[in-house]
Parts: sequence; structure tokens; C-alpha cells
Amino acid sequence: MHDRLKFTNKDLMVPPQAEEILKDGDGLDFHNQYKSPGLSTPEEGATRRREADQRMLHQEIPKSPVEIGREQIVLVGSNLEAMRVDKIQGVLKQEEALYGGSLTEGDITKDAYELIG
Amino acid sequence: MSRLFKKALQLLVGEPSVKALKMPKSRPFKKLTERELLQLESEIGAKIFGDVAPGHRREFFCLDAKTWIWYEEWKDKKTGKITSTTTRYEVHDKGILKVQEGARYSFVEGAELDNLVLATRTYYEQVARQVYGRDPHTGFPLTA
Repeated sequence: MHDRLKFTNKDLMVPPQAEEILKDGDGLDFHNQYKSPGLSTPEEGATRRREADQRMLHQEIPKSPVEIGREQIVLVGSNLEAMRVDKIQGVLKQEEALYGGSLTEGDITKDAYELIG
Repeated sequence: MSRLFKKALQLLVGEPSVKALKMPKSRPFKKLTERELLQLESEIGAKIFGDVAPGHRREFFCLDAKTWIWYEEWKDKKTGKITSTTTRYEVHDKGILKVQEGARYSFVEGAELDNLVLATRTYYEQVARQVYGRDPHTGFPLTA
């Protein structure tokens, strides 16, 4: 009456031939592929988590078009500002060479131009 | 100006330069220089978007590292009045905020953002070379 439900441990075992096919066929490793994480030791689990964390850390998260655009505009603006400062300082140096001494912007307004004005 | 100083200056730089250096006494040196540079930059910026229509005036320039200005001015054909519009593009953490008159604010995205990025890059390429005489990629002075 219960024949259909009766089975032995032998019935549950994967036949050796089938195991070989699963292991070698298509590069699949049946046992490792489907090994339950719960079956690993705590050390193995910790190692796996560390490795996963490292992968996440080193994974480059793709930037959105807005972020890319923003970065490019900031870069251009910063470069332009640096060029302006450089140009202005270059003019100050030229005027220092012309008038001698060490001039500040205030000096140029108050003294240098009054001298020649 | 003392005669001696004037003569020395003439000997050093010549007469034309003396005239060129006669600036208003109240001139705030740095501000005027920055303004002059911005005007030079804007002359280039105005042409990036193509020819300016007759009767129109356009300014496009980088005010500072995080602000760009687009100013457009024209004469209204019906009323004859001068009309203008100013658009300010501000760099924020979330993106580029477009600020217009009438408290209109919106973050720039899509094709408009692409165009703005392209415009700023073109501006930089041309301004670096033509105003500052520098290679836009390396920042080094251009060799003649």
C-alpha cells in the first residue's frame, strides 16, 4: 500500500555516472555550484563575505549623465578661474617690475597711478 | 609726476606706454582686470551658439568656477523696447541648476545638459588659447 513512498538511502544517492556528467558537463560543478552557504564553516562564511565586500568596494559604480556633466563643467570653470588668477598675477608682476618694490593691488591704485596720473 | 620720474619712465617704456598707463585714480585694479578678462571671454562665448541676430546682443561667460551666465538682449519689434533675459547656470551637488527671471528654477538634464557641457568645453578650448595663450589640455603656455 505504501510501496510508492518507500525508498532507501540508496535511491537518494546520485548515480556515479550522473555525478560525472553533472561535474564535467558544460563546466558545471554540481556540488560546488549548489552548495548551500549554510553548510560552510563560520570561517568560510566570513572569508566569503570579506571577498564580496572587497568586490563591492572595487567595483566602479557607473556615473549618471548629470554627474558626468557636472564634473566636466566644474573642471572647466576651475581651470578658467586658475588662468584668470595667473593672468592677473602676471600683470601685477609686470607692474612691479615697472615701478619697483613689491606692490599690492591697493598700492597700484593709491600710489602707482597717482604717480603717473 | 616729477619730471625726473616722467623722463625715466619715457626712457624705459617709451611715450605710447605712458599714455596707456594713465588710468583713473579710482580704478580698482583687480576688479577691472577681471572684468576686462570676462569681457574678452564673453566675446568668444557669444559666438559659440552661432551668429547673433541683428539687433541682438548676447553674452555667455563663466562668472566663476561654479556659475555660468547667458544674457540675451534685443529690441522688441512691436513695442520698440529693449528686452533682455538672463539665465544663470549654477553648479550644485545635485547637478546644474538653471535660474531664470520670475523665480524659475530647474535642474538641467538631457539634451539641454549635453548642449551646455559642449558649450562650456568649446568656450574653454577657445578662451584658453585666444585669451590666455595656453594649451587647454596641458595648461602650458602656447609656443609661438
